[in-house]
Amino acid sequence: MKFLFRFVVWMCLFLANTAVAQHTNHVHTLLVNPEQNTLLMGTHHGLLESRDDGKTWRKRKLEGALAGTDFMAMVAHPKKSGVIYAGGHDLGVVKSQNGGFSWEKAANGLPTLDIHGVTIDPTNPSRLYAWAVGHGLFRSENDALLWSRVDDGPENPHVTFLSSVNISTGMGGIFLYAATAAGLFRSPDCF
Amino acid sequence: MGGLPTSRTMNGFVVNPENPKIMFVAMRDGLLKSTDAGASWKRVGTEIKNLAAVAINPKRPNEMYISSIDGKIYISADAGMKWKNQQ
Repeated sequence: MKFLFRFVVWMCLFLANTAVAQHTNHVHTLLVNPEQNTLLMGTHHGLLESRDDGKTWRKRKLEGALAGTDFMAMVAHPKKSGVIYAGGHDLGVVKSQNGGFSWEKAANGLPTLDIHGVTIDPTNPSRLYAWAVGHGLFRSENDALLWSRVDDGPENPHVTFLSSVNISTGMGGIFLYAATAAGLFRSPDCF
Repeated sequence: MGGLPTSRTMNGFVVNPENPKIMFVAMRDGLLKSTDAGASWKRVGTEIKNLAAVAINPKRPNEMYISSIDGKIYISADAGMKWKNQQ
């Protein structure tokens, strides 16, 4: 009887871990949402959530206007609880106002759905940046309602992550960091 | 940016919201930390490789998470010095 009980427990753990492994294959990004006590994981196959610090995961059933499921980047609004922006290979930029349960398009002005980085200016959260693959760096000044091209971005175009960092440039702005296939680049955002 | 392998892909990047000069990059080689806005880097949690992502709790910046490419999650309560496997 004891052996049977152990076998059942072992099988349950094995199946649970297999399910996690299937869901968490090809991880792109993590985001902590302290207001909802949730850890979000963006993957090649959608968005997962954990409510126990990453021990167990379940796939989120997403609502709204999503062109795809490949979440490459997520960033939370530093002042508005529940507001999250995301971008991905087939997503463009999308915005959630309820912690990532439902999403709306926020890609007006972007030339492609293939977005590898999204970041928000911590000193001016209405300003966002996005990295559009093959098209360069884009900026929005109005909460992602409209995007405009800035420039070609870092010399290595394989950008994997974009981050607006509150470090003064000494020229009235802050720095934008880009993680790439050839190291980390930074640029003053006063372009 | 001293100490940062420039020939390797950076998969994740995060900044401490209370002190933005403290930043981390997640790479296949592991996790690297800078305390001088990226001028120099050193490895932390050196036993963990193949990292895909790194995150920080904006309310409690000492609480951090990393994920391996295949979805193994690790948590740190001391700003990345020690890590615990969550699975």
